[in-house]
Amino acid sequence: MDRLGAFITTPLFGVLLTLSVWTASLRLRQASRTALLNPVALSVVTIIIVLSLSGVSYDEFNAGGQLITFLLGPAVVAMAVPLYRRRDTLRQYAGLLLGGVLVGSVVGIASAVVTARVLGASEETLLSVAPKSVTTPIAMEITQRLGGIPSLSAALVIITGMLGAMVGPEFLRLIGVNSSLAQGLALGTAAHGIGTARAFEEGELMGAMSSLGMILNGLATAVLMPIVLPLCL
Amino acid sequence: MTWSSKVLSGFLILLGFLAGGELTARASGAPIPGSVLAMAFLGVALWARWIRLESVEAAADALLEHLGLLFVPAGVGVMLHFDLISREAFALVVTVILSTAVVLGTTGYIAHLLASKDKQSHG
Repeated sequence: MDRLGAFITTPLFGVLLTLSVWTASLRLRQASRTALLNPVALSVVTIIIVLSLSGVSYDEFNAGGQLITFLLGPAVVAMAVPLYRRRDTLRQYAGLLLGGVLVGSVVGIASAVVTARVLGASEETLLSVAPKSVTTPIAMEITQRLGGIPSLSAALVIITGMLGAMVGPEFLRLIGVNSSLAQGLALGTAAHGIGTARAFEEGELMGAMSSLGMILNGLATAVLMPIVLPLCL
Repeated sequence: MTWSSKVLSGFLILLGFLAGGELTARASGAPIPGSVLAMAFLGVALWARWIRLESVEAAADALLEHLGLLFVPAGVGVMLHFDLISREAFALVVTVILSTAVVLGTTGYIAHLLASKDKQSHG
């Protein structure tokens, strides 16, 4: 039994568990054909249940998990590639993108921090919710730097994305924002990659705007956070 | 070059930029994540054609295609904070819903205004 227990603490365990749960989650989503079945949320919940039931600690799991987490750094750098590929759209709608993203970024930080503060949230919660509209890997980096809880940010970011993807376009039409340019940009800025997946279902231009909104909001929020946050605390 | 050699050399370029971004962030004391700086540097390098798109795209696509997978283990870390989350669940839920609506609304509305202004000025 001790020999078996030692296997849990090798990196192989965490990597194997993560990859198998992820693959199964993707299959399940394909079979069910609903965008609402988010594979990240499904994988996280499944792994937490497996660890809780088997009594394996997060640290033991993370011996392997951190090997996967390491790849988030180069993945953020890699986002320059889709940005560069859409350089024509970027140039064509430069003013629109810049205006929308800058306002969205400041409003995103301020509205989250002020609301949470008014409702009496603790400081670590405030810091973790501040980048909630930004794509997960960048949000986690920002939170880490602020001294918040990166994993809590990841959870809040994913919930934000699912919410935006579920009702975003409907909400925008309701308030009279009908152009696909504006809807796409708003979805990407507010609901990052999960919102962008929904935007691509609505059309190619809307998806492209959403994708640009997501990446530019990641950049903008990383730069603006140290300026805007102190004003809200 | 085979696909796997392209991924390998592209990955090396991404790591090189990441190191450059991390070192710049540390040396300058700028409160911006090194990886975000590195993304901006790579964007500039692609734009200026110092780096060709073909030399990084295989690695970038491989990483970004399964981006969700990469933050699963970090996300599992919420299990360490269930106490905090259940204590502040109400504030968290209200904040996420309200702030998401506000960001969607203001960004969409600003973009809507700027888009209609664009249309007018270009005829």
